[in-house]
Amino acid sequence: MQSFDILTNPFRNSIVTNPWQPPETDITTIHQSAFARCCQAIADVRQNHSTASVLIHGEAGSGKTHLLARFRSYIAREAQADGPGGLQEAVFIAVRMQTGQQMIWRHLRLQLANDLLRGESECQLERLLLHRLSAAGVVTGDIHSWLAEKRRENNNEPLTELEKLLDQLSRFSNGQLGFGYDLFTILGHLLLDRHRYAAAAWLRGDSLPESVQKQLFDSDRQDDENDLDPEERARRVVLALTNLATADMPLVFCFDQLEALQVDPRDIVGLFAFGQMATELHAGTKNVLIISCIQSMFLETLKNSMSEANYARLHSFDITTLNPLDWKEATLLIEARLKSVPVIAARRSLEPNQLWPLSENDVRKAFAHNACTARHLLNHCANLFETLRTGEVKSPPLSNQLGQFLETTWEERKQQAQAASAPRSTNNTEDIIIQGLSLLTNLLSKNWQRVDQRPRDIDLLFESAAGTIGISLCNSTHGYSLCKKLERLQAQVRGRKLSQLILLRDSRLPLGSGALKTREMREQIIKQGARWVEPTEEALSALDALRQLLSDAKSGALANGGDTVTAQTLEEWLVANLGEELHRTLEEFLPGSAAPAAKDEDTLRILRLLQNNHIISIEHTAVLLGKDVLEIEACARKQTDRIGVLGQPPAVLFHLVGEESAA
Amino acid sequence: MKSLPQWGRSREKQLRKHLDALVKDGRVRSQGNARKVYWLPDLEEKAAARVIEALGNSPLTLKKLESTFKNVLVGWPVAKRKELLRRLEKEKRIYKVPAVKGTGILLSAQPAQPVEYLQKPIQKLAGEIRKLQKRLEKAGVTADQFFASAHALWRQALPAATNETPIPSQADREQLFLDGMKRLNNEAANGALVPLSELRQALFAHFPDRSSFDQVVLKLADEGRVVLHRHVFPGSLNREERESLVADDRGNLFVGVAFRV
Repeated sequence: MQSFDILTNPFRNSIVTNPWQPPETDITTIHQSAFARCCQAIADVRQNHSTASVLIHGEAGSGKTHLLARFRSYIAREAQADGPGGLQEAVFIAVRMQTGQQMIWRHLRLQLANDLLRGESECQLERLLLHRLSAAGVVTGDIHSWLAEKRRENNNEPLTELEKLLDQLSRFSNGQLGFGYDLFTILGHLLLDRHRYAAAAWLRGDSLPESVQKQLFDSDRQDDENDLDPEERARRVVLALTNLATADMPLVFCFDQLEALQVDPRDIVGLFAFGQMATELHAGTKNVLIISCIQSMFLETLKNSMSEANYARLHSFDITTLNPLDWKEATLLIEARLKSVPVIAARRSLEPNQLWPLSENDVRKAFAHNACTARHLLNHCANLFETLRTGEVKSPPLSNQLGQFLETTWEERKQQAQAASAPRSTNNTEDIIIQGLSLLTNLLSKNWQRVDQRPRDIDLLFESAAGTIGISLCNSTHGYSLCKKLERLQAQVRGRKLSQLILLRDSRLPLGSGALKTREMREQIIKQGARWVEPTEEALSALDALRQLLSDAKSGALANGGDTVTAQTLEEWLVANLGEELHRTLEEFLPGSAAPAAKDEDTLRILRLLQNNHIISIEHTAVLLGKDVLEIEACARKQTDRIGVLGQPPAVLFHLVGEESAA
Repeated sequence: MKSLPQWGRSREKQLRKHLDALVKDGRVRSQGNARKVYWLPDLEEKAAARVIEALGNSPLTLKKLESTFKNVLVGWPVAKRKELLRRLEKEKRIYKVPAVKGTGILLSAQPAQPVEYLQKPIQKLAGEIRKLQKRLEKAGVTADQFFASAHALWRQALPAATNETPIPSQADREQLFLDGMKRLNNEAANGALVPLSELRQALFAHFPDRSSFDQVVLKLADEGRVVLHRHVFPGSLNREERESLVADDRGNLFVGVAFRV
């Protein structure tokens, strides 16, 4: 047998991270009953023309996302088997709840639009609309030929067939469906492949300049984007689009990372808002399956964060449990992975040990009380395989491993966020800022508390002993709407209820040279005491990376090999290792957030850690900072006026507070 | 018939045939002859769950219970409702217990707890005894003399009871735990997760100390009879919350337990 060192490790790099990713190795008997319940739920939706919901929970790494991917693949496979528009078709929408409570509907609108427009030749939205037009009898004959003909006509007229359909739908629902003229026009554009980029932006909820609005709606009207509360506008669009679903083509919402709705472990505001949103979705739609995924340890928190009625709506069909694997399931998974390497598969048949080349005793070490999550098992087997390849037992020092992993992950995420920042979506930018700033403040500045009750046009409100700071996002590219907003904000400044008003605009959206009125209003409001802040692209990318990483950690999706990295561990590391750009960003908005100045980098990082923790073990500090314990001790002893060292040998560091500060 | 579309109503005989076949198959239940009532087995379990939920707050008379869940069992014959209650009683998911006041019989989600019945009469008796003690104290009888006599008379008056509660065997304790899971969550038998903190509280009378509860849980998990779900973020819990969970000697903290189905 050739040596293992030329073979790929069959246990690495095949973790499913999102439901759109087809699972490479899928053992159908694992989590079979949970999968069956999802299939029964969608059958129930089809049969009863109603909306149903399933709540799925399991330990971190138990395979919740993998199960969703299996379910999505199943739906797609059934659809293919039945032919286009066949009975087993469904529309699949995956939503990671990486957002804040005040952006829930806008976030849902963004994700819904992205997934409806997903697909290379024919997107989900197109399939849904064609199915609807055909089923309603509005279009007869071959629907695809009809569409090709309409596209060839290439005129800018409203699509009468679509108008007939929406009129029909509205009449059946007593006008409750919310298909306004704007949405009808946009759906027409998308179906006929007209102004696709702009129409997609509208569907996502982005702010659009007047010139683009004119192109889309062929009208010079001056509407204020903010006449209607943006959340209410998003809610109407989501419900209208969702109500396009039918029993033959239901819509499946998969909500993941609900834990990310919390700013800190005691925060329930975001979860409460999610419960309300899910209830409205449940009550206001038909032919929809809502699947929500959380960690088992989060079940009680979720239940206690919302009313009994709302919680019941989250699992109207079932609550289903994903258990860690037992030994039988584990062996099936390991065997499947080993079979994927042809050389090993061929040799295995000659070996009596069904787990060859791994030993059963070694594999069993991953188990605790007869159970092991899939993630932990695969990582454990990956390490065992590496040992066979290299002949060395793989166990680097824990401190280096965690520190290096977080550093590498942080840099990767920042780069990914930077790469994803174009083309820009104003809706997405607002999500990043609102969630990101809330998390950053919670991380670095315990002085400032977020306030949930906010005046109109104030998107974030923070208060401390020093006063109240309101932040208003001014990313609108619609000049008229931005002017109106600035006018209203002037009243806020004059009213003097805020210590400081900050107007925040994405630096990648400069005010056009023709926006004279807007510039004038901006100067006026600045003279009245407001501040205009334009965070850089780097700062926004870092904020995006921060919120994504924290969301992953909270939902148990951040793993260093087989070990889940908790939110607490990540937060501690971030406090010690966040770059200057985010500290400066926070200081720009909330003065007094920064740690006191320090001459060297290591002292600064220790002080930042102690700002949040007050007392911390030296060993833990060393792990977080990626340094030696002796180095940390030496550094701390140089700052005896600010850092206390206790124990023989030194065991803990604590924050020294001066007499005046203590008083 | 009214809820069926037109084409269905005109095929009544065929429909009845199909329904009878489904009843024979066990996929549908029915009751009655001239006026037959049909329902899905699923509805029975929902009804059972509602009954147990209603009784979870406090014991109820049969009449009160029926008025509580009559919406769920619209159209169900009385005989069928009684059958459901009998089944639940047989499965020890509900119990018949005497009313604390009066001679009536109530239905309860828990077996009769002696302390609920004894509390008031013993408090009343204790009050009278204390009054008597005060009177005799004036006559020179010390409190020690008085209560020694009271205890002696008490032991004579009541049947001998051991001072120690009989210690259940390990097998009994494990069964108590498994039964407790099903009582706390009527979906436990189908694999639903039962929170360990709630189970610990519910079974406090049988497992008054933390370690005895934890030992049973871990043993059942090691034998593969239940599966445990870990809490990976114990730092987010306060001390009381952490102590309500189950810990093993490897530093793992478990938040829930489930049957493997």
